[in-house]
Amino acid sequence: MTNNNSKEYLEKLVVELCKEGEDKEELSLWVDLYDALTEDERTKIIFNLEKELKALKALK
Amino acid sequence: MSFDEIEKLSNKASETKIDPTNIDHNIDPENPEALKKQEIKEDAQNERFDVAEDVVERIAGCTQEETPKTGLRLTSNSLNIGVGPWKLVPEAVHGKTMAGEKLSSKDRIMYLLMSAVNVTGYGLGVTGVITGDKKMVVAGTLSYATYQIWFWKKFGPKVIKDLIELAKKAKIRQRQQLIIFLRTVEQILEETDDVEFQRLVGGMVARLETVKILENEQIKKNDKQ
Repeated sequence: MTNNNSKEYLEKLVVELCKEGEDKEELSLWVDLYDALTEDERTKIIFNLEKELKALKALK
Repeated sequence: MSFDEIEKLSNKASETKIDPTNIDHNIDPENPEALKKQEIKEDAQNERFDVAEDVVERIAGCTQEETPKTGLRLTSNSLNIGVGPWKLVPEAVHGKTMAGEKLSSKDRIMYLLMSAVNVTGYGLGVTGVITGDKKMVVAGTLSYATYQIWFWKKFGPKVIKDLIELAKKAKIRQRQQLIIFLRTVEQILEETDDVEFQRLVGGMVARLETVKILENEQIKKNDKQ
């Protein structure tokens, strides 16, 4: 887990997950919502995406 | 579509049987890797759905149980009209459309966020407000236009009166929320053929023009300073 809660990092994670076949529309929605989220909500979403990315990559 | 018909559809959606596996049936059941991949995605999406639920509560300013039954107030993010306990729209709960089709994860979250719209006044466009996306305001609320028409017919006169009082007291940011709301209503007016609704809400829009005037005056004042 990283402490990076920036929007740029979120966008990067979204790009990576889309490469893994994730739903681009949904993940883009989270990027759109970023400014409206609290720090805690950002942390949860970024942690969630990191965890998913790690799990999907581990399948290969 | 009448409100009774909407209610029937809503009840029907509540009775829709949920697939407990929540697995995309386009996935080959004989392919364990594809199944595992799907499972990871579903788990992650459900976790994000929980976060979206938190966001809705935060926007609404209260949990479902704590929702005020009546009253009208402005929060920093929204205009909140409490006319009854809020509930998540059935599509968000079940992850399916009323016709039983599985929703995409994006649509599921959109429906959930639209629950916040319901909470905060049956279509005041809060989803769009928090994202700053005017298109989303219109899209999100228009899909609930029929429901809103019913709402305005039922609660309109009281809400209009309260809105005008609120507009007078509103701070600059809150006035912006009201203006976004007004624009949304105008858009809905353009989309509907319902004469009674047009008369009722059209009257309100005209009266709330004062909010726009106040807003413009404030902007001019700020520019001078």
